[in-house]
Amino acid sequence: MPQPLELKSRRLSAEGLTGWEGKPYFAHPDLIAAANAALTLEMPLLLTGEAGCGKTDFAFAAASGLAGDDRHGPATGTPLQCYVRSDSRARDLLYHYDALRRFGDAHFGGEEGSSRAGEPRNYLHLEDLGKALVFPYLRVVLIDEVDKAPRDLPNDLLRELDQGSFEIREIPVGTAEPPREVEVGKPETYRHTMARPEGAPKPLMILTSNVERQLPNPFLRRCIFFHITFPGTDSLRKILASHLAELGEGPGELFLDRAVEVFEVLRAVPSLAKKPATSELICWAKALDALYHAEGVLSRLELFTRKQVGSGSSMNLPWKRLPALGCLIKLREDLHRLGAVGA
Amino acid sequence: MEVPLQQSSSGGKAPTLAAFLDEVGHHFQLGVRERLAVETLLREWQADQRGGELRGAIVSLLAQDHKSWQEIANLWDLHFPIDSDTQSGEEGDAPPRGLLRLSQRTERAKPSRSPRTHVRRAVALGLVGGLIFVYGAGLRIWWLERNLSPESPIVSIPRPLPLPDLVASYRPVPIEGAVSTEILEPPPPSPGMLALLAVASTFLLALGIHLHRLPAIVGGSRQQALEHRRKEGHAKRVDWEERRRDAGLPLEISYRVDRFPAVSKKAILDSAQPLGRIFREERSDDLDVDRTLDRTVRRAGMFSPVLLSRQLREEVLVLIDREEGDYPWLGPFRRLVAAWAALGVTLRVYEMEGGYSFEEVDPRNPEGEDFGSDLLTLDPLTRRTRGLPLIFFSRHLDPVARKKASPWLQALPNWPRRAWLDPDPLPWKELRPAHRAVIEGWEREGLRRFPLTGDGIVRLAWYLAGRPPGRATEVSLLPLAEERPAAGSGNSTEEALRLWGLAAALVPDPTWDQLEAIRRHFPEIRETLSENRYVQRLLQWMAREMGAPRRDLSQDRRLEISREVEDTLIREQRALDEALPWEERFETRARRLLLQQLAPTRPEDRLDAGWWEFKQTMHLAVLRDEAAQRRLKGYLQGPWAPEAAPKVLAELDRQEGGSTTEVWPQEIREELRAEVDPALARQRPLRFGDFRWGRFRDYVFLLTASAMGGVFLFGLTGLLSPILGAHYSVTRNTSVEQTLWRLEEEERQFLKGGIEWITIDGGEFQMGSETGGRDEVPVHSVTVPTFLLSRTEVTVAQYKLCQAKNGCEEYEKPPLGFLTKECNWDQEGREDHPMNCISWSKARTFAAWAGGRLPTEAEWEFAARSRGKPREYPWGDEPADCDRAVIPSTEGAGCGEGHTLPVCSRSRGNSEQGLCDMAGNVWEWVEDDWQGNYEGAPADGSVPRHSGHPSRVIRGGSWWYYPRSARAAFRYRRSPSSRSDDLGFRVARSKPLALDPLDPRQEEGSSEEAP
Repeated sequence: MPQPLELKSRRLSAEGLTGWEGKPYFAHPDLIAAANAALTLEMPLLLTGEAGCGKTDFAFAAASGLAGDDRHGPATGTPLQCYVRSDSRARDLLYHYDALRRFGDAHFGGEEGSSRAGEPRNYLHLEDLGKALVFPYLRVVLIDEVDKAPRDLPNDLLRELDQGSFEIREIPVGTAEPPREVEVGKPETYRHTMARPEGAPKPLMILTSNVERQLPNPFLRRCIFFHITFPGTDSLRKILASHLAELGEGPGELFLDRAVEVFEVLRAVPSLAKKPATSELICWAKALDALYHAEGVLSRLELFTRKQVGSGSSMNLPWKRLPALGCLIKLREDLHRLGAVGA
Repeated sequence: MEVPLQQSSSGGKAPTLAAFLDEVGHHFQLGVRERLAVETLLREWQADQRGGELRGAIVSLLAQDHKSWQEIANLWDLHFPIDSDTQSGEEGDAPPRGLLRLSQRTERAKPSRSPRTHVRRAVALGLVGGLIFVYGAGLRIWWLERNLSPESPIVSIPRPLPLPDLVASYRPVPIEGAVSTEILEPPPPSPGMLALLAVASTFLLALGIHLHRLPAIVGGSRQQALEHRRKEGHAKRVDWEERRRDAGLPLEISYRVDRFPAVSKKAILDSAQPLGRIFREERSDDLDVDRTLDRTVRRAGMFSPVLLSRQLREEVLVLIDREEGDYPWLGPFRRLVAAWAALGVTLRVYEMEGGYSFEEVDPRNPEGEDFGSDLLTLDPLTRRTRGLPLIFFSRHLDPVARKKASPWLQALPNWPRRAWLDPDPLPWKELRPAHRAVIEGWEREGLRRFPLTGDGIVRLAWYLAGRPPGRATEVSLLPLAEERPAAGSGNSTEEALRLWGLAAALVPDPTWDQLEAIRRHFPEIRETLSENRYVQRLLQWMAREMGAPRRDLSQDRRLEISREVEDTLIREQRALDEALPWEERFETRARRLLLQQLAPTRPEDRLDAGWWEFKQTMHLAVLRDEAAQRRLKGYLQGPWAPEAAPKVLAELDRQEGGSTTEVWPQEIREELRAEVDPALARQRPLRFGDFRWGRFRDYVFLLTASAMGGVFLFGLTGLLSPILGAHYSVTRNTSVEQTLWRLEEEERQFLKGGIEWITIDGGEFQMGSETGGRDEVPVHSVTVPTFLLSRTEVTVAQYKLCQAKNGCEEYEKPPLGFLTKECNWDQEGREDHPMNCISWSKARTFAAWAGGRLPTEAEWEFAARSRGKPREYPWGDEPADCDRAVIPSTEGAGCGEGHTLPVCSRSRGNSEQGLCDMAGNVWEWVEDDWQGNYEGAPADGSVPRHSGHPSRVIRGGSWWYYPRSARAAFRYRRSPSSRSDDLGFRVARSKPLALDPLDPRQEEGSSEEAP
């Protein structure tokens, strides 16, 4: 059995974070501070921000950052992920109880089945949030797009988030408690009140939300809140460079500058229904890199620099001529707005 | 037990974090939870040396959305300006200075209860009154001045002289003898305007007072501030409870109380029996063989089963109107339902909200979580429960007044046996008329009313069961038998109520369950007030005690007891119990009970734990536990201060206010008192103006409030003055003619005085120069009497005016020639250039029209030497250049311009008396004839020399002639008819301008006579 670790305060640092698929992640210092506050206070971290600004990615980054220490045990480098749907309930995030199978076992499973059916623990399966809550070492658990969930879900989770323990109703109170500590993946150790071993750290819960819907107040009060703003030019450039570096010797500095500038000009077009996000930028830059000649692309990109915009509107640029525009603009109405749809 | 904020005692300065948190608390919700979290963060990170991240961490902790994040970050930056060495996100920095402490303790509290409070109060009141008076009186005077003053501009007087191209402004001057004083009635105030004014100012004043700063400034009254804080604390707590309820957590802050059903056990048993024996007939599964054979097989020749009937126990439908949630009687009634269910009565319980949606709940656990059922509307409810006996529990679902209840009324016949359980257990006589009307309305609809008392419940049960109770008496309906408190006179009832109220006040803000637990605990209360329903009496009593008899306290979820009442009750009880030994006193026993009700273990939640600890400490401290008394201090410094400080202060006041029993030792009291004031000062309600004006806001507010009062006073005096018969005396100029005449003179003076006269005081001087030309000798002494000289050379505009007024003849430009190229007449933009190309006689004509003459040569030189000083130029001996005079320079004539320049363009070259262009610009005609030298020149400078020479003297140099000719002593000559473009003139006057009235006609005449 893994020993609970004596960790006084764990912390993230901005350097060397790697996000999804091992790409480097560049975090704002304030975001790191917020995450560290969440770690210290053992409160959930709520991230909001535009789509594609790296909310989800930060969970991976945080997991990678915290996994730097070997003592934390295996497989902590990736976060446990809970994806909520519009019909998710709080319990769905914690554990799954297969009532149907138990019923089946009890009635049609023969002797072996009915003896197994006598034990509800055999039909329990911990979901990711539940796992994280009972893990003996620090885990990062990502609850993605929590605003998509029914309004009750955040409220229902309050207690679990506060106390870091949860109850399995299917295991009746008062049944003999298993002698061992709770261990993930071993149902025989499960009990009515599931809690992590004493002294073990509470998982770092990272909740993400698009700012579409206001979350309930009591919930907000229990969270550390941070809004990830869209990356600035320098960050975009860094991100792009790191993503393109793997394609070979890496693109020229000029190409990076131009690509980021054109991207920002495009984002500045007023009243775009869906502004392109970082992922679109990367995809577009890769497409340019792979499909076009470097010189041709550069000269084409010259058409869309800030200088070209001048005092006019960025909307009036000949966007139709931008190579691989489809990587950036996904909506037909936006294409219309940019005059990029052929007659 | 852990006292919050231990580290607050460490030294150092800059308690800015507390200030920051307070400020954040003003703008956003900032509760104990947040303060605790900040504290933890500081403690943990202090050891870690993680100063640089604090900003991001704390702001993220306090914020709830992007907007508030930025606002809080701004507040942070305001409080902790970024030092050069503290960059956010950098590691290893020293923690920001002063962040080590959460509470501020360095300033010693100024004792706010100074003996001079009332003096200050009087001074402040006087100040406010004075300001109001000043504002009001000032406004009134201003208003009268504006409306009555005869000095208001007279614009209707026609211009005495036609002046086509001249804009002149006139100001009538009062003339002695033309002034009279008369008494005026003030213009009648417009009542509508004044009324509006009065209403507006009253509103503003009321607003000012409502913003509860005015009384606090004026009085510094601590009692008011206390009461306000208490209310705020209560509001905060209600808010907190709401959030807790949202989160599905239990509501008690710290007291665990047994909960009892609404009526006694006996009544429950008595009512459960009939309720459990309501049956209905139903067909069973058994075939009634005889009847089947008889009715169907034999008669119709086919088999159609007829089933046997059987008796089934009927369910009882209970409808609970839960309104918004938890009102006082709801819990006890739910428990009654649970007790019935436990006794085997089959119930179907629905809770309804607003008469529209119904939710089924578990009868055995009606207070528990939801039963897992969906919400029903009225229709499916009636379909499912049609025919069941109905117990309808509601406070005031009014069938008459509320239109909303109408679908209800139509649904009522679905339940043939129905009864209304009215939770208001007052006897019929004491019910409010409105409530009686509701009752009667329901009775008309066939819904019998039973009060929620033991008796009422039993009657209801028998009514539904359709059989009378044991004895064969009718179920008596309206009016019900009057119920009185079981034993004792009214006096003992009063006494019991007082004790009950006191124990409740110690809680304070007890829930109804808490009240019931208290009642049951003390025999002296229990024996007199034997049933739960007497809570209603307590509410009435408390409402009377708090001076709010009209308010129905049973609308609340808690009994909110004001601090004053709490204080009075405790003081009274202490005075009463003084003779008793400590242990037997009621307050001691009550506090013991409360301590006992406090859960024995510390709650896990830190928030709960804080409340719990404080309550325990406070009770223990009053119960003479010394350790607890010491601990109290910690709460005055921590996040609980706003709640704790008023309580401690009240207790201190009680102990020092005459009670003979000493509860707390002297030194503890002193220590606590020193802590209370800063604790109170730290939390202050958000006020108007907090966002601007900084620390001066109080004064700004004082001023504005006084101004409001002033406006009010102004309106008031405006209304009163006609009634009081006030008169206003006014000085008025009655002689219009004289005014007109005077105006004319002013204008004449203006016309001629387009010329600015400068008085040159007379004196003796040496005329001529030894170093100049031959014509400047011999130097001789001349005496010049006082005279006036025009400040500037006569300008084109001035000459034009003369011509327009027929003072001068029509001017004709000389034909173009060598010296007439740059004539200024009729040249665009040269109105203020000197008049040139003008002959000596024309110059004299102008001078006469302007009321003067040409200067003599001696006068001219005297003026050019700045009153005869021995110098070369008006400014001294420095040679002339283009800084000081308009003369030819290396760039060409006229300082490179090639013509004259506007007069006074070289003010550095002015004479000491302010004369412009004495050197340069244009030559100036003087009166004298030319003479080769000064031989035989007169000693009186006012006499021109007439030698008979055909030329006239010109002086002062020009834009075109040698720079040296600009010397004061330099002489030159021209023929009087010469009209060159570098020759102009200025005018002189012998005597000062007469200020006595002149006859305009005479003057006009004289100017016409001039050649």
